[in-house]
Amino acid sequence: MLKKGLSLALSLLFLTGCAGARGQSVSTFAPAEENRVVIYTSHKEEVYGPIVKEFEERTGIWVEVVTGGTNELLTRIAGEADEPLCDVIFGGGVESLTAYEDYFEPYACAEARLIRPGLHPQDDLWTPFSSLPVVLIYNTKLVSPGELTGWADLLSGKWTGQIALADPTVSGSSYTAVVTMLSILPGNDWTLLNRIVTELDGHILPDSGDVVAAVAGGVRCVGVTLEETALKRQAQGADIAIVYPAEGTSAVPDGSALIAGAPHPDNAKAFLDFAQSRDVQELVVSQFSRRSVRSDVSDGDALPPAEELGVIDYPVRWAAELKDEFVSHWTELTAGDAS
Amino acid sequence: MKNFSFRQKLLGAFLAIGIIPLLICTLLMLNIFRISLNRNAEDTAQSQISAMTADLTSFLADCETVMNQLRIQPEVILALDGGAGGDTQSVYSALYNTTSSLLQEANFSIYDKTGQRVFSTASQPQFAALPVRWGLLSAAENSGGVVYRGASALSKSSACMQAACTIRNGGVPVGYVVLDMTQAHVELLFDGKYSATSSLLVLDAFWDQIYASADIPSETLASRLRGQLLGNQPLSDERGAYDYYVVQEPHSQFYLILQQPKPLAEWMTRLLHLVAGLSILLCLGLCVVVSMRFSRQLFEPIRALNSAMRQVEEGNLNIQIDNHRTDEMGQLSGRFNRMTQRLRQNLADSLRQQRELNAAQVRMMQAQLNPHFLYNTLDTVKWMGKIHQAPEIATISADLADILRSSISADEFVPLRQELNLVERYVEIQSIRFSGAFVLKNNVDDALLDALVPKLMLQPLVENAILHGFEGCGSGEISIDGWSCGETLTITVRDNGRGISEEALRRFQSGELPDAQSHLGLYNVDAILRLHYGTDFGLRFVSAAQGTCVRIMLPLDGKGEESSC
Repeated sequence: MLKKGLSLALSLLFLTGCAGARGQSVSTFAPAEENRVVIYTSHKEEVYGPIVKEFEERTGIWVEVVTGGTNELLTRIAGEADEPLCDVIFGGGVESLTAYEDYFEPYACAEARLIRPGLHPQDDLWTPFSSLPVVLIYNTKLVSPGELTGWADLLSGKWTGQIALADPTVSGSSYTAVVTMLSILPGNDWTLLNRIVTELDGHILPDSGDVVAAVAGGVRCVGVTLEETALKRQAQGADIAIVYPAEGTSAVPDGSALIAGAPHPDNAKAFLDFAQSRDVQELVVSQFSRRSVRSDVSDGDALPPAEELGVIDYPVRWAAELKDEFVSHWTELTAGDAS
Repeated sequence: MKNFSFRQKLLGAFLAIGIIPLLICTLLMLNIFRISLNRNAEDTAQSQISAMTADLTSFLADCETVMNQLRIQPEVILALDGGAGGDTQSVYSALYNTTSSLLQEANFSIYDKTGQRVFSTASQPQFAALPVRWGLLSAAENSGGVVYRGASALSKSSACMQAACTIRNGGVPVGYVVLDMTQAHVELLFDGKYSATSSLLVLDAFWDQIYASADIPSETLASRLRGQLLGNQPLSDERGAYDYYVVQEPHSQFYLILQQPKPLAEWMTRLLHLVAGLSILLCLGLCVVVSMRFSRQLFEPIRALNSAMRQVEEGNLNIQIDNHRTDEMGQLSGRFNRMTQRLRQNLADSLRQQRELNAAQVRMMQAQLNPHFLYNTLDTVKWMGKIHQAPEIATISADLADILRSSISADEFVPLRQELNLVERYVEIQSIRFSGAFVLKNNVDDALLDALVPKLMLQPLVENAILHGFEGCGSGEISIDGWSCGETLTITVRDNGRGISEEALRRFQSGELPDAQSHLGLYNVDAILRLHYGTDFGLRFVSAAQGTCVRIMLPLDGKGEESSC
């Protein structure tokens, strides 16, 4: 009798307790699973924001964006390989993507035939988004025009300790730049690397974002960076000038890839198509100071045409495979330099 | 339960009765309080947000009407399609006339087909162009009706929300009507329509922020809520201090989200719990104190009684319980005291009896000394009689010695044979004594001679016959008959004397004690038989033609069951 009464009272309590713990249910507003896509991106919000927004408005697909550094996101994708949460990785140099191509599924975009030659991977494991030539910059107040014309000038000894270069073992774009140099300049790769380290004289910048700032601020005279970064800074009025190296340069694209076993593959493909669509590529040129990967979208009038840059056929796979060896050489050289 | 003492159980029961109802009551009250507050707040919020949504809907409907009017204004179409030929003033006149009712609430602009703004009600030019292949205008062209968008980050405008529809001339798009709402416009629209403590968020169809009221400090709130929506979690801010109410506006597909502080703030909930907890603790303490006292009071007499009992168990009968109570416990203690008194008395009695018994035994031992001496003396007398040729002396002393031996033997029961032998000795002595010839006839069955009978049972009967039956005569005949009938042994002693007097017989039968010495032997035999075998047995006078006949009956198996005493 007592037990009965007690249990009745307890269940009453339980019921009122439940009624008290009420939350606003919004699940009715949540999109269905087939209307979602999950995108990992290393782009800045000013780049991915408008593209994602327009994609949502046009297709009605909700995009969940996860941001982070390229390597961080790729590691995460590798970690989730058994049960992928992500559909698309959007952004990241194709060298980095190549290193993780086991986790990608080949997909040829609807308009792949309109992609400029040389930017298009054979196996379709990634799709290019924008072309990013490596350029040299100099401070217009510290260096006179014509003084810096190409890669060889950097090693001439004129700017020893005055060259702004981010640590290539950390920054993807810096690694691309150094490999470009090694590919273009004649001579043994490791000898060249030694010369580069000597010219840097131990002054290595920690992050690629610091290069333009260092040159614009006069801390360094010359620097190596991506065209996009330099153009953006220039537009803000920094005292820098861009030099397209006379020996030619690389224009390694950044890209996107479809994750193998993606939970929303159709939506992911729709997004990849959209990222390469003419509308987006025009936006890439007009808003983001980048070069389009499409042949039918012309780069901005202010930029020298791509054909004049002497773009080399950048050995993406070789560069990706060389990375470990490169890092050990670099660490050795810089360590010796420091002592 | 069984292992707890009475006192612990009492304590437990007190605590349970004191605490459980209070606990249940407190929790119920707290919950009811919380539920009613929550419900109240929820109702308020729901009605506010519904009203705001309705306002937004009707406002957007008005805007759509105005925009649809504008897009078919001939002046406007002419101005856009005809290039520079249009009359700017008449277009503005049409623009202002059409939008006059909504000029406070929004800005209306007309864009040409390249996305350049041509006319606007905005007082100062905010931006000059919109992309036609991207975002708002592209969507407007594709939809045909009015489309709504949050202002794009690319447009760099001060508007936070935009709507657009296409102006067509014969099916060909020639321009766009665009509505801009700035932060201030939205603020004006919803001003005073929600509580001062609440905040408002307007999100687009994909939960990206369009507008947030000024008091929302965190710019990441919208993306946080979006993440929760996609993660299928309930909406909450990072501190959990707010409730969120969401309604979707049907025209624009925009979401209105009202952020309302939880009706019970965290500190208040804590305070309520603290108060409830403290009162329960207080009650618990009180309960413990009262129940300890009460149970001690109740338990004390039981404990005293219990320990007194233990003392009694250990043999201390002098224990007495102090008793000042008049209730049941008092009565119980009183009874206990009386019980120990009685026990004490009984013990004293039995001690005294034991002492008396011991004294009797000592006396008996002392008495046993003499018969041996007498016996030896008689033996000497017997031999002296024989030596001096006086056979009667020898006989008497031998007989007396035999009788003496029988009477001092410790056996209580003897075989009938021995008893008969004793009787013969007795008769022999009396014959010599009274110089008479008493004849003893023994008619007992030989089979019965081994039966056990009480010692000295027959001698008093024979003595009675000789002393009273043959009083004055020198001779007589005494016959003893014995037979068994079933389990009963019957023995009669018959004499041919002068018989028992009527007076003596009456007395005997009425059970009166005999006077002086007469017939005392008979009484004793009767008493012995009754004591040994029960009242069914005993001694009887049997009427006889001459003399006296006494019959005794006893069980055949010798010692009676009731002989134990």
